[in-house]
Amino acid sequence: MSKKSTGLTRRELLSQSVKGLGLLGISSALSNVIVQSIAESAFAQTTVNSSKKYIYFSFDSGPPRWFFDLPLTPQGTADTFSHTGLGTYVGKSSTTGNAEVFYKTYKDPVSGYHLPPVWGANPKGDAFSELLQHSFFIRGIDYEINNHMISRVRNQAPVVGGYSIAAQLADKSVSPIPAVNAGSIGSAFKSKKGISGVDISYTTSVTTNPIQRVMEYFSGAKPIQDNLTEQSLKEFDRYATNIGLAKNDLTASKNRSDELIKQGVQKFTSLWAPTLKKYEDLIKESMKTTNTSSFMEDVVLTAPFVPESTYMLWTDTAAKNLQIALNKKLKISATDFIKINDLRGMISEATTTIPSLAATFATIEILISQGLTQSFTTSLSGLVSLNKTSTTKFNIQVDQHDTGSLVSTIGTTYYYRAVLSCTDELVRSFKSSNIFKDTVIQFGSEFNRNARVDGSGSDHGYLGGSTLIISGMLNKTSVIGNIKNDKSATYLGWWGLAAPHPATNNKPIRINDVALTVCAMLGVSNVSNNGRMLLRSPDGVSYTSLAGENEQSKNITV
Amino acid sequence: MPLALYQNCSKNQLLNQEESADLSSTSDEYHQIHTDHGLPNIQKAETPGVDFKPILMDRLLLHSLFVDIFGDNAKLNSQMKTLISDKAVFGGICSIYDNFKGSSQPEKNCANSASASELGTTYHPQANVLRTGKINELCMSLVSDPKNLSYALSKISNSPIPENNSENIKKLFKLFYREKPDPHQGLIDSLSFILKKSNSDLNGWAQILTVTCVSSHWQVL
Repeated sequence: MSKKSTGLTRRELLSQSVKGLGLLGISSALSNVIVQSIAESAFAQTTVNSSKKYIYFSFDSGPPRWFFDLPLTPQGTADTFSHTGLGTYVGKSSTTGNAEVFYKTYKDPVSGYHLPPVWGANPKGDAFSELLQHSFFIRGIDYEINNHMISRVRNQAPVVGGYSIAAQLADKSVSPIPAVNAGSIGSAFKSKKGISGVDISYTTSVTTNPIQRVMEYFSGAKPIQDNLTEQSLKEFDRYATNIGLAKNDLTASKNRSDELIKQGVQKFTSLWAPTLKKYEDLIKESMKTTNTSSFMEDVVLTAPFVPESTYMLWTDTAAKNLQIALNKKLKISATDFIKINDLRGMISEATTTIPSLAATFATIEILISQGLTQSFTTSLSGLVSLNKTSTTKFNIQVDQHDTGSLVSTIGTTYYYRAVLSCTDELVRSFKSSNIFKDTVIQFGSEFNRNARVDGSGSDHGYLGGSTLIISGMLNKTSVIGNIKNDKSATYLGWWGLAAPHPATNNKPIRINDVALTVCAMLGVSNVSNNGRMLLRSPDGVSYTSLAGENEQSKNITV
Repeated sequence: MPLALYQNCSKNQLLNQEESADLSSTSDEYHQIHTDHGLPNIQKAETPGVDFKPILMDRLLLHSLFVDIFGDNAKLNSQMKTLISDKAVFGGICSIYDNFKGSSQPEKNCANSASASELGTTYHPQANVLRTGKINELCMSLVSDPKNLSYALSKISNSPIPENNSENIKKLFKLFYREKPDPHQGLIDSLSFILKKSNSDLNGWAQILTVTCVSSHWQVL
């Protein structure tokens, strides 16, 4: 190679090395594309800073998603649906007089999509319209691997052991704290630069909270601030520059650190109490029976549990069979059942809650809106302290193998309602801080569930999952993804089993496609080694659904 | 390789082939490849082809340095233990040998961890705000302990409060900036002024020790 080549930029070097492509008959236009794509992937400029924000919520353990972001009949009655063990609404059966599970939807008046009823159950009244206008429902996702932890992590890092979406953004972050992780999803965080996020827990007490945990890096005494010290530090900088030691990163991080200390830990930690209370109140509101008619009939919903030792003595076979079927739907574990007179009382306004949910949202709101971090991943826990009997409580399973359909429909819908209430408030807060336009909020899980036909529970529906993206870059409600009916005897019917989709090369949507789409929205390198975009960007700023056949969300009968 | 392909081609032929296989929009590259074939030598500003990022001290080296400067008493500082265990912020990968230290030094155990961040902790840490914040805090905490301060000053002079002169200030500087060139006079003077302001007493030496510690550039290897 000539001497002149040693001064080449990387792009020039690459261009030189592929000039031979011309002799192979590859056109200049195509060769340019080749150079461009190689240059971008091999020599990606990771020093370009980003103003994007990313929040990933992981529903650990895989709750059923047809109550949340997996609309089973987005086109309404035009879609085929049937399943004897699954429903979205609990009402009074006209034949038995007992509570029964039915299938109903909430029709969004703006988009026309038929969505899970929770979207029409905003405790403030009406629907979660504020969120819907920025929501992208991706269903029919084939998770490929039936494993809680691997599939959970793959939502963030589709290549097992590879880089994660949150870390890709953290690598480009200009925020003081590159990333924050909470819960098991934090184990997915892997950065190209080798940075790690701050791991937090949501333990709160009168003396500590997650914000303090983050700020403890800066909670020491204030740095010495006087002119002589400032002058001396400048001399140190000059010395370092003179001998070639000066690193912009060191100086920049020092300045940012000092700034945080100057602003004072007090400023950030003082935001904690009122923000936490705000979300605690929202969750309490979500546990009331206000505006629940979209998923629960407003009548006494009796579903009397009868132990096996009793009904086995019945001579009426039909009644016995009915009781066996009902008992299955009242399961809360392999051997336990809910035993209350009115299923509407399953949720206790006083005690039913989601542990740490308020702390989660308060932490996110403070850290993101105050510019302390841009990347946040967190696990969410399940609904606890529901009424099992008039005097005892139970926690609803997230991994609902043994959760009967009556319990699952009411309990899980309330769960998602609380999550949506908090998300609604978070989005409003981001809008008022003018940061929502750069924010991507994503909900994911290791898988959906496949409901058993007898309503006794559901298993790992890893062959048909969903994810929800809420972002200021989206300006309308969209649903993508095809599903098909399960023909197996155990799970017969529609629960979200993934079907091929034209946008993904006539294969089911996979997590790689979701990851690529999210990475594109965040402006970071793809974390998977392939994938197809599930959105398009006409202007490079906002995103919208794909065009034509590629935006379809069909129910395909097989 | 492109040059080899063009070896036996005439200039005119080369020109024609370049025009038909123009892979770049810049004419500079066009001329670059023909330099050896006698075309005018176009001067071009050289731009670096490789990024250079200096390496910072990792947690183990930092810990070792602070103990060397402030003495064994520094090990008792609770934040020093955090320094060892906070791989995420200070870098320094897990050592399988550390895991044999068992419960006596649990903060060093990490090689058996399953989390991506532990296993992927960088060999060579880079600057980040959390690291800077923690180092600032550690500097102030270590210097505020009279035992630590006394030990550090004993490395500068035999007297409990060293004299305010260039030699001693240089020695303080070298506690952190090891194997680095001597400080310039402006830097020595700035530290001397700080000392003078507090009558060159123990407090003054604590102050310039802190300033040197938080100056941060000494972390670059």
